[in-house]
Amino acid sequence: MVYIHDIFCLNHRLIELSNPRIIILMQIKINGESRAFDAPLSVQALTLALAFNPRQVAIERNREIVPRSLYADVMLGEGDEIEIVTFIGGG
Amino acid sequence: MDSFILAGKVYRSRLLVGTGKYRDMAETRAAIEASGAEIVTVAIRRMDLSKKGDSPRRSQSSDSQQDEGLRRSQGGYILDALNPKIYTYLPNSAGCHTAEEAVRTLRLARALGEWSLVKLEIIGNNNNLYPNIEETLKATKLLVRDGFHVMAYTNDDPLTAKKLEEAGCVAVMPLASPIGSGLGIINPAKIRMIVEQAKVPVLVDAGIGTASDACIAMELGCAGVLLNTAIAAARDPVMMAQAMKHAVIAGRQAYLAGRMQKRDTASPSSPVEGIIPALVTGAGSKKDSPQ
Repeated sequence: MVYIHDIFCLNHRLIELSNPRIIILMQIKINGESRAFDAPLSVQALTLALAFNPRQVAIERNREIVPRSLYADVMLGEGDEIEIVTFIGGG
Repeated sequence: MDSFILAGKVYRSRLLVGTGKYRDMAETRAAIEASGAEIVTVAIRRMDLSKKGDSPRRSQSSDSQQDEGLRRSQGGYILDALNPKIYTYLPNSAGCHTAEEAVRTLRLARALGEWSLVKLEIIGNNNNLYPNIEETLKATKLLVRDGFHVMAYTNDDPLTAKKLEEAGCVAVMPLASPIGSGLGIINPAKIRMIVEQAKVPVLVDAGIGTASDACIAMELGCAGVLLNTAIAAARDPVMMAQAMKHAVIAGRQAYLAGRMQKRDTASPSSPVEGIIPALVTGAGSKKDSPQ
């Protein structure tokens, strides 16, 4: 039996078969590069996946800054454009 | 008491230093420490994703060409090398060409660490790196409304400096000469005009090349000096940083002391009365006296 959920707010599809279960990855652009990640994914989880120290970065999701206090709460969606920036030496 | 106050905070050092162009983090840290600077400028750039999987603290020296800043920060991240609890970070919108880009960048900088004191730099020409004044004014108004304390990099035009001050800048920062040129203050008269009319601190920013340039800026009455290349590109950056520290102190003291007037003619330093004749080469002595 094939059962398809199409959840618009998260915008990913879950296809449930008798076995095995397949989850389609979501495509997210990070710093201009397209990458695939398992859904669901919070901003916090993204920083861990990319091994960034969350205290050393600022993150924008679709041109809106994500406050650090909300990293664990904000969930990424298909097609999100993320900018992850940090300080570097400069004048 | 001669205090340097910026956006309500008192600083001891009137020398602000940029953190770019050093050989590595160790040199950055050593030079900044030697300079005595309390405020350091930093740029905001994309995190280097090619280091995915590596902890930022374990980053290797990289020959990646994509991110010059991180290549320069071999051996670590600037937040590790310069403790933001000890140094006041002055985020710089360097690299931006429009008000929109600058506002976006500085908002990201504020998200990084709640710094509201920022340097606004919007470049109009990629060759001479002159500031785009129209965009700088536009950005200043947006940033001030958003609660930022803006130090605006500008040209040495007194009218422009006044407009930026009226738009709400906490400091105006006219260039001495183009960024990284080391040409020193090419138009001291205009810097002096800006200082005389300003009600906010004026800092010379860009083009300082050596210690005397920094000293002259302070003698013109500037509240401070911001420089980067002068130290980073010196043969001995740590020694130049020390020289700059002394130069800014000396220039400020000379300004407060009130310099002597220049004059067209000479004026001897020693009195002219009571000169002993014998001291004048033979003339007037008994042997040589006429008859």
